[in-house]
Amino acid sequence: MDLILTLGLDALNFALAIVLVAMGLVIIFGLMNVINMAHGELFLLGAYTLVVVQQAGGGFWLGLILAPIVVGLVGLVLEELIIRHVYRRFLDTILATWGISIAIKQAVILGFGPASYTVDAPLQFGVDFLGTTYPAYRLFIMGVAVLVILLTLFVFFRTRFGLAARGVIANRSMAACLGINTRRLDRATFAFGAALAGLAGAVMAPQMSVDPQMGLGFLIPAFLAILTGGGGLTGTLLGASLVGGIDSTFAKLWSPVLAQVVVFAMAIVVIRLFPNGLLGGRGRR
Amino acid sequence: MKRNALVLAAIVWIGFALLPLVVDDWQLLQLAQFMTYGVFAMSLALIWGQAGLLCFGQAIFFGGGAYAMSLVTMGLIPGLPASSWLGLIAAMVLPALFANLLGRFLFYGRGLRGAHFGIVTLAIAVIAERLAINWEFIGGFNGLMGVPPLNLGIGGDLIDGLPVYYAILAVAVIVFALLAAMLSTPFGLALNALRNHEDRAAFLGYDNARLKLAIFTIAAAVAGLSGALFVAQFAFASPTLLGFGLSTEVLIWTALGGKSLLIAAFLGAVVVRVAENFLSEILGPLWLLGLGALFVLCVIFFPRGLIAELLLRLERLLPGGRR
Amino acid sequence: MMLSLDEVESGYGSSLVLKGVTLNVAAGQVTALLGRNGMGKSTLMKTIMGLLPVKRGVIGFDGAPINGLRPDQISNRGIAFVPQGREIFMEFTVEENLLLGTLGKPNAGWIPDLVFAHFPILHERRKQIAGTMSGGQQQQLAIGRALAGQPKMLLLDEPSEGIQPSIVEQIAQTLRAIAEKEKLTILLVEQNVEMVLDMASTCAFIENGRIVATHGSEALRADERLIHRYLGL
Repeated sequence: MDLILTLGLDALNFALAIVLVAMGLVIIFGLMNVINMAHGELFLLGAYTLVVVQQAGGGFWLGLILAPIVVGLVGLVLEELIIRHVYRRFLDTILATWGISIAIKQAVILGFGPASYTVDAPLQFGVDFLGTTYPAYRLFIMGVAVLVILLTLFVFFRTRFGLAARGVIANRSMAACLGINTRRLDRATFAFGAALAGLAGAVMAPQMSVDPQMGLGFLIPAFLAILTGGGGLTGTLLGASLVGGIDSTFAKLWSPVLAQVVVFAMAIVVIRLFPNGLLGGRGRR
Repeated sequence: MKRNALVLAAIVWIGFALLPLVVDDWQLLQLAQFMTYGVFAMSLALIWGQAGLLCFGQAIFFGGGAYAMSLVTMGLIPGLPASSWLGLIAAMVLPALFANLLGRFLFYGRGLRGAHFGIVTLAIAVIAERLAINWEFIGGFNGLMGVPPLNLGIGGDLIDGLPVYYAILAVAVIVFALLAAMLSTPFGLALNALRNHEDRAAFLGYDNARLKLAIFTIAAAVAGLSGALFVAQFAFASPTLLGFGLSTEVLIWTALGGKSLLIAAFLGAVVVRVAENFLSEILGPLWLLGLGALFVLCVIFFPRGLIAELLLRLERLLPGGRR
Repeated sequence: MMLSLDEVESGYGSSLVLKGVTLNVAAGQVTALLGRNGMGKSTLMKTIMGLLPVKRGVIGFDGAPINGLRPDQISNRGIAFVPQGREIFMEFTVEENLLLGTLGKPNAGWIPDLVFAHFPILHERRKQIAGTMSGGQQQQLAIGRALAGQPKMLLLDEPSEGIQPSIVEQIAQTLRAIAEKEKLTILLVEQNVEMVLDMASTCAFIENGRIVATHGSEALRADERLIHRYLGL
């Protein structure tokens, strides 16, 4: 019983962490049709922001607040310098963002060395939960993820920015003809997506070793979740639950490597059977 | 293939053939290694430049070939004699089979286009590396050490610079010639149609999925061959040969060289590696940072590749070139 | 003049569709653009909106040149576009569609009363998903969405296309009322000659990317052969 409960919580924890990472990716892709291969490195920058803040004597909470701001600004600069030159050249956006990811990773190695850092986490106690004890910080991560999902829903369905963004997703040129500045919207969206990645990096940092390779490890499950779910918010939630659930279960019962293989095999089979993801086009809202 | 392009390619190969006149034995060994990377880059250019498939995990086939070669030539496969020829065959067949199987999942069923393909191959590269690290039969984290050198039945073990260099050069020229010949057949033309207008190609009656499957399989075999040649020189197969890092590098070489010209991709790999030899000691980690930045600039401003731009310009200068 | 085009060239890629269009649209008037299919009517509309680049010539609007501006800038100068095929946001509600028309404007987030005054059905159905409405209602929504930004000028591309005749008549009436009451300038592309003669005061004929003639509606009504000559009916 305990095992099942812990397993369920672990799976939920991982799934929500994936959603946290995937959200920025989905938003940027939905609006700009850009697959941001540098998303993992933006995540990385979020974690290192926290490292820097803690080294400078600032606390965890300050780092958590600064990370999305710093990484959002980085996103703004990247959009202006690079991304906007390759819009409408789909494969080139993948390559360009990928080149960015290499450069960021190297810059981090240059600044911080290849070794890993650990981050002091707050909330170092267990919470009694239906008879088992679960780390409070993991519950905190889940809370942040849920909050981010709600925030995104609110922004997209209850604000003018969200309406404009949805309009651009649905029909870019018509939205422009109605007077919506798609250029500014693109920039804001990329920055917003980057900020989410930065937040995710800072939130996840205490759970993992902060090193230059950490971005990739999270990027792939996020991508697989998006692919299996079919994109969009609901699709991503579904995909993340599948990926998170399968990965946690197999990792606990067998080994983490086997879990990755199984998740990947699942994703490939789903892609073969449902090329548009499990939700088909319907997930794209 | 156009006449001038052929003339240029011939000039390049003759240049490589003459290099031993000016460089020493040790440098020849290095260049031979870089040329195996060049063959590897051609395999990526084949699917990316010719069929528009952006593969982020091309090293899985390179590494697969390297491990196959190592296992066979080290005599670790029960019932198989330890032979370079058998190793080379295994190094081409195994990656090709894997690519074919994978392609059946990826290309059939309504389209899996650019991005999906890239992400899936990226995921495979990362997972393959982790699997190799955890698989004791192929040496786990430490890999396989003491892989014997090439022995093709003539001239004994190929160890010295000159024979190794010419053996690899011969393979590179043969691979190049076969691929170039293949691309000038109707199959190559169909690929071209596929790259430019996937929908229109389907409309014209090309079976896109089969085309992709065929080219993906062939490219995997070429990558496997290059991996086998590499490991026979390097004497050491490790999980990094399968993984994300090398996949990244080959993509950079190919993009900088030029994805749509096989010879440019080959040169891209060799030139970048030679430059890395000189510069990475001076620049340290700055080298990769600069390479990443150069890659981004190249994608934005010279999507055809730096060396390809140069070659295409030279091509026009040759007599009979189009202006 | 509200809108003036001077020797405008434009097209797709390297092929020119407009080969030197000169056209003046007087303020507060309805001007119609007529021509057979493929003569460049829709291309002209898209060029005015900035969706296609102006290769040569000048487009002036309300006293200032607008060529080279982005579509959103042109829209916010006061030109509203009702494209062929309407291009409403099918999965959005009627209200969201109308709000999208206001976002770049001073009245962002607020739908002006005149929209619902002219199209009461849009008020009735403001919570309905736009894609579930009939073609005629969708056309009214497209026009309402354009009006929501309180434009100075309206570009209408084939507003009668795919709509049953009784509704076309109704839409034409409403458009006429809007033009009169709101002092709107309208450039109308339309195949339906009845509707054109009903609404427009001036008709320009386009052929092979050039304006070949301009007549007052009175003259056209008096001499039907004129229309036949240009439209080949």
